[in-house]
Amino acid sequence: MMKNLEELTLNRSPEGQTYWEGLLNEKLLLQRCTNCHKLRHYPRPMCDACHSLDYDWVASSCRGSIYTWSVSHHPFHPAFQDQIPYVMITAQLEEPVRLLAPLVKHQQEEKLYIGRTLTVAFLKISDTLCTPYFILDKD
Amino acid sequence: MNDFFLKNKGCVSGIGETKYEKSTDRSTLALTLEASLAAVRDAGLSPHEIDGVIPYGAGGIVAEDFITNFGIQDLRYSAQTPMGGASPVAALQSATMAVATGVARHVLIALGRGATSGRITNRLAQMPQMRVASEFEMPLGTNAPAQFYAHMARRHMEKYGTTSKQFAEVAITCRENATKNENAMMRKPMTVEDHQNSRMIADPFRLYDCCLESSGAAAVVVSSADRAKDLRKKPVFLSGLAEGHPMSPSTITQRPNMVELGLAKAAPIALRMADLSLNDIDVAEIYDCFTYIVICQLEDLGFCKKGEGGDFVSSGNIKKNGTIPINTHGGLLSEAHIAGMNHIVELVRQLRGECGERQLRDVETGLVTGYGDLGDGSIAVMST
Ligand SMILES: [Zn+2]
Repeated sequence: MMKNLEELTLNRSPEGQTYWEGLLNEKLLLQRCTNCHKLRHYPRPMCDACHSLDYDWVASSCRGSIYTWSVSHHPFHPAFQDQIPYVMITAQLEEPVRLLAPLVKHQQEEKLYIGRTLTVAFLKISDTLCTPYFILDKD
Repeated sequence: MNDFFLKNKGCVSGIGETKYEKSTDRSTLALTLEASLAAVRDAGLSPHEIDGVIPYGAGGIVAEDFITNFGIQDLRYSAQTPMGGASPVAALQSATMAVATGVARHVLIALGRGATSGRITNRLAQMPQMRVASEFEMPLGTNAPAQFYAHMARRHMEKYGTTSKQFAEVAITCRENATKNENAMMRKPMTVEDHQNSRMIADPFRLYDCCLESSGAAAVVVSSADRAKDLRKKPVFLSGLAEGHPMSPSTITQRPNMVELGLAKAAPIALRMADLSLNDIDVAEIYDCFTYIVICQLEDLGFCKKGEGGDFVSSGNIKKNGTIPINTHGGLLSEAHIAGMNHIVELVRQLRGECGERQLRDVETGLVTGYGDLGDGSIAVMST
């Protein structure tokens, strides 16, 4: 799995680098425009509200709720072959951005519905890769 | 120049297809050239007379290939419309711009899928339009279109009560139509039970919600309306053309409205350009990479209100004798996945009356849509 997963982590942008490093420190960093303070995700060079190229980073609350989800049954990519079936959740964070990440393994059978609250956690896979995942609050 | 300068300035003058099959030993280029030559000859042109080319970029075919193989002496226009499955219909707009302004006379649009394609997840990851998804979403386990689009479909189901059995109506309709198409890959009739028993791929999508993987090629020639009059076949006019892009086009995750596609912006423009209402449309060839995407587009086109697409398809509206017959060739779901170039070819055939056993009666106007990447849309309204 590791080798196949590494081929998926080669496309890092300069803006994304800080985000990925933040995850290694168990922080979900969001870009904030230093001119108009609009938060944005995923990382990119420009603020779409005021077009400033200047930004800093703020740590997300890591709290949110289900916006939508999918359950993958077919192993499209070999890196995730031993995971299927697995739930992926699009969550609306408390901040005005969303996050797409897998649901923790032991909650795969939980009832899913829009608005169910959750927390972001962090899974360290290697020295260079840490990925976010979700843990649902008690129903 | 008014907003609708392009109206009826261009015509589809020629169409061509290869045989569609599951796999092939032939190269994408060989297939593309075969379909292209068929389209050029259908128009009554010589390959030397093609002076504009819009190849499908994702197939790796470039304008140079046509200059070399067709022996084109003076290619004056080449472009690409990198919008995934929205590319072919978007290319109709670009080709019409070229012939309407006199930049070119006969523009060839061609798309092929040959032996060289490779794993879908790798192809996707390498597309520039997928850069953001590739960096931030693929390493977490969302790698294929079925997985990306499943989030839109689930949102629609939860918000509006749309069901998997309603998805089945789209698949069954395409299959019924394919039974009357000799070039369709899947011709065995499908029932709701067949659909519901097909294995889960990316919930809510079952196998029969997903398009085929195919080999083959299709092509069309767009000529200026003036020149098309004197060519071999009855001209089919490009009456309304538009492309539309959703907000957050690079990632579905961050899209403000996840249950609306770029087509929602393009459709009213194309219909106004054609000066037609949906009531005037006799047939609609709707891009059908997944059943849900058809339902969403029917709403975005305005055939029903947002959220009512499930009921719309399960009330028989999209059947051959319904209010708006769709995908008369069987679509990507049952004919072949030629990225919607086959939808354009089919619409032209219906308008010419060349569809044999599956020909609808009294077809004077129709529309074809494209859908691609993570939500891009395109539409062409055609008339005779
Ligand atoms: Zn700003």
